[in-house]
Amino acid sequence: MNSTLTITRREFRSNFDSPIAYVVIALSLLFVGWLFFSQFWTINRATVGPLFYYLPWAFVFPIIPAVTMRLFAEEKRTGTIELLITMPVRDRDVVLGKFLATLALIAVLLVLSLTFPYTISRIGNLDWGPVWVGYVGLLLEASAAISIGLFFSSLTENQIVAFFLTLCSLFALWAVGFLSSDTNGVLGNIISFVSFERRLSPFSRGLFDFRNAIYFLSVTAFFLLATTRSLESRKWK
Amino acid sequence: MATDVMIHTKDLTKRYDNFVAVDRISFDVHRGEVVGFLGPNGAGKSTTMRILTCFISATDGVAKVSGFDCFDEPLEVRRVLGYLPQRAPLYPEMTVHEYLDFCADLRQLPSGDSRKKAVRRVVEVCGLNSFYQKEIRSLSHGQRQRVGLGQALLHDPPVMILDEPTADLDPNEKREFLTYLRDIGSSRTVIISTHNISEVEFACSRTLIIANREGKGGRVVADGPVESIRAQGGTVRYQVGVGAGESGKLPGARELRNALAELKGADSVTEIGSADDKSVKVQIVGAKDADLRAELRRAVSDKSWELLELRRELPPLEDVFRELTLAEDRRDRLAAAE
Repeated sequence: MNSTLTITRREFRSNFDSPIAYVVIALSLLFVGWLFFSQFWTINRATVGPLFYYLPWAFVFPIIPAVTMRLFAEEKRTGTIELLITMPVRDRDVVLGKFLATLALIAVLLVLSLTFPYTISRIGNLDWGPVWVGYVGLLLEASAAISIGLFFSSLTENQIVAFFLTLCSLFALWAVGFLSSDTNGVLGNIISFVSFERRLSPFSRGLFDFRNAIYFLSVTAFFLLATTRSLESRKWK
Repeated sequence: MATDVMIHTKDLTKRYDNFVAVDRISFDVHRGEVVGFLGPNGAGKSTTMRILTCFISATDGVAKVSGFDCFDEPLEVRRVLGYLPQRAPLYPEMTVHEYLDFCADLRQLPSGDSRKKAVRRVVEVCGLNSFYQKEIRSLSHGQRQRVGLGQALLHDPPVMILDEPTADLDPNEKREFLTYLRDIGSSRTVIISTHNISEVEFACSRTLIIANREGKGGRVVADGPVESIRAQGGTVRYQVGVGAGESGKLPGARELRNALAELKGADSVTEIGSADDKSVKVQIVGAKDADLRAELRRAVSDKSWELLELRRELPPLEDVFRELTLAEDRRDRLAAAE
């Protein structure tokens, strides 16, 4: 566990050594804030519903692909992966360390975004209960999305390729939800089952549903495992 | 496995689809040996090192470090290893201090005086003091290489595997590092891969040469102390220095060369520089199983010159290396043609 935390600390810090994290977080918050408040004045009600609509979109493009693309791709390109792997650490410690560092970065972003509901609460009468549930949902969704980004970053040395693979996958998992209302039968059920949008929607309404939480956690576990296997595959190639 | 065998490989093989990178390599390295790992590019040196450091797995065969199996006990192997890959693995955004601290954390060196001491030792040995607080991105190639070396030495490992560690060092840094390596080598086990044969002659007590056959992987073609490998070559060198003698006239280099080239068994005669204007020097290459010294003496006295110097010596390691690795290629090409 010590090794995992050592890697987490280094990885978290390295986010702030390049302008990418600052730029992506700042621009995303500005853009989401602009959309959120322009809707807020139209709705004229103390609700943060639009925030839970726009932030997941910002996760899909560009936040999660941008912050996960370099995680393994950069280490492979520069050769530092050989340092990590030949230290007395397990492959899964490396994967978990990078995952936790990125989740912490997204948590920072979510904490910063709390300024929106805080502003609303100063203007109107905001019920904070559903807001906290919505934030838990966002963190769960982010965790699943990060694990997918981590997986694609482990497949390639090219950050741009990792970015687009993650972007396309997350877009598909998010946008597929909009098809489910027009699709019936087995296909409709499958779409509802996998859709991030469908799974997050109850959280954004303040409903904590364990099934949805378990879904996001399962996706996270699956892709973390897949990333570990992908990393181990260097041994057999 | 005997207790002082620190690295053991037996029939180590690595295959990639249709390509064999390493072909049944077997060798043991004992405590107190500094082994120079030589071979042409693509012979499988880095692949062998990567198997020993558990970065990749062998397709077949056994690899053990300090008694631990590289496949079954990778964490134990990595704990006793210090490894510097071909490309120094550095994080450019970190300072040297932060980087060594990060490596010490990963190695789980206990914090406190012992860690400070370990870092101080590495800073001194690798000469990191003048740029210890600088970001790695601002360092020169040589400085980066020294930082990479620093991380490999940080935990004072009993076994070190260094893949071209001196590639980016200047001649003074190289000599300092090799001297250090030779000094610590008496109590440790070191494998050092390099293309610089003089480094092997200077620092290594033993040399392991691998070469690849066409379309097949690298295999061991020579293994032993430098002197015994030099003896494996098929030729010897004669250094001949001649003065004017009774003739009263110092022969020209060409004249001397022509006179000695007529000798049976002298494969080639080359002029070499003389330290003064009172002698002329040539080097003759002959077959190892013949001794030309008596004929050389006679040929010089026949011309009434004076023999000032005559030495018969083994060929330099570089020539034997070329002979062994080229011979492998040629042998296979001939076999394929048949």
